Amino acid sequence: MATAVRSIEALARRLGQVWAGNTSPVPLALFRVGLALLVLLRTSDWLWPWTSLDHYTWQRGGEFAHPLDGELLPRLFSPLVPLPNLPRVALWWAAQLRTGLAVLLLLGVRTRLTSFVLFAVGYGLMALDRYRYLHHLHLLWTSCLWLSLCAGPSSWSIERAWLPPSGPTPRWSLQLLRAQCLIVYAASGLAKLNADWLSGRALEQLAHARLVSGPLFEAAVGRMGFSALALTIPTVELLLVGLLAAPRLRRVGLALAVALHGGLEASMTLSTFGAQMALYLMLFLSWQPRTAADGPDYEVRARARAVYRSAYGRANQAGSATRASDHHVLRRRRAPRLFPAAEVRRTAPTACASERASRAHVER
Amino acid sequence: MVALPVSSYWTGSTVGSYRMFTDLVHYHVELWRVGASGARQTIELAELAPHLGPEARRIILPAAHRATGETAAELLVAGRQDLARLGCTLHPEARSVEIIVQRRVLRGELRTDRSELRCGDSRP
Repeated sequence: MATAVRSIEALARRLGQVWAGNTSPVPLALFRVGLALLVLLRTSDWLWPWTSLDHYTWQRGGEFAHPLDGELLPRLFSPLVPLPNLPRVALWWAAQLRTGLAVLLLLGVRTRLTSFVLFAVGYGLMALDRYRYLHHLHLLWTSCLWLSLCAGPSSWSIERAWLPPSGPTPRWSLQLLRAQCLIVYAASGLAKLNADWLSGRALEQLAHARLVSGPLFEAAVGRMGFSALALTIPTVELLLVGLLAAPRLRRVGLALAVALHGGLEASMTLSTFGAQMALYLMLFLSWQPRTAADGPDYEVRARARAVYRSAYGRANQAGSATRASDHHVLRRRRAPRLFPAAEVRRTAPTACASERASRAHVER
Repeated sequence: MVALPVSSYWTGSTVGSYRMFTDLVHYHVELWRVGASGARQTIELAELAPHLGPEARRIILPAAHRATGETAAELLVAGRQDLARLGCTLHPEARSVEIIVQRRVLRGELRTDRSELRCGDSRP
């Protein structure tokens, strides 16, 4: 019983550590800018002559802002959730508001409020007609909702011109968005754990219907067969959840995720889904507090670095450690011999412990 | 964040589930109007086209023959009453409008969802 309680306490402590502390504001700023650009691209046909996004086949101009578009009254009203039937002029203005909000989000004006209203207007416009529902749109608008919950300063924001810099960026904001990414992979992987998919029949039928195609897909099928390929996809998706969640395996996870999305983009028409997931994957890079303004984590890290460099420099002067790869040697064996016992007690353990602590903190 | 995918997973719904291309579903829609005498006449889906938005056209019109799409089929089944209501509005002389949505999943299983809307009745 006591062991179980201790385990639960340790788990709670570990979970608390995952969410605690500060991080660099850069990933959230990148996410905000990328999301705003994706909203602008997905809800317009601005790139129509140059790119071929699948919504261009049924949409011209702003999405859901088509002025009557040949529709006669009465029009079909079939909302996804109970919503009032708004007049066309209100829809047109809502679509313009959505574009304006996306521009404000891009500029970083009142990020939290802007992204929440953008979620409400964007999702609302989509939900007014159930036939507008698409998975990547659902993810796009809910991403705006999660961004509105994220605390933190607005880096790369026009607001910085007239507002003083705000406090450090809490790590939980970054972790919240990372959690959304893991949920997408988990949900997608779990949905494929059925006999039809795992036997390869579903994938074969999808290929037969030309929903999945392309030279890469054909090469994969030729080499592995439908069944093995079908088994590989959910395996990779579920593996990604673990790999991306574990700091030490994150680089492997990122490489695997890039390979997976590269394959999907080459074989299917997924609109902006790949770009959205690329934004989410960017959040898993090793982001560190960069300046003193990023909060106490930066100070801990900077202090650890200074102490460690000082100890390493003395070891170099003594000619015993000359390569960066000798760090562990310095830490574990040489340092105690090179310095007076009192100084070793004072610097080396502090340096090593601080360095370890700050690295673990950053990797989380 | 978790609630919607979990509920979709347990209910088998695809809306909000982040599942794409996991199953192949073919769907077909038939719309019938029943006159005062009880005679049934088909309503061509193409007849509805001018009253549909571009997104609805993309999903509904191909269903006159056989269309493909897991989520699209589910959206159609869930919104069949609205489609029947539009049929009633376009044919005020009809006593009721019947809608039949057939879905054939990969295993060959045929699911038929049939409902009838009495025109002029606010209740489905």
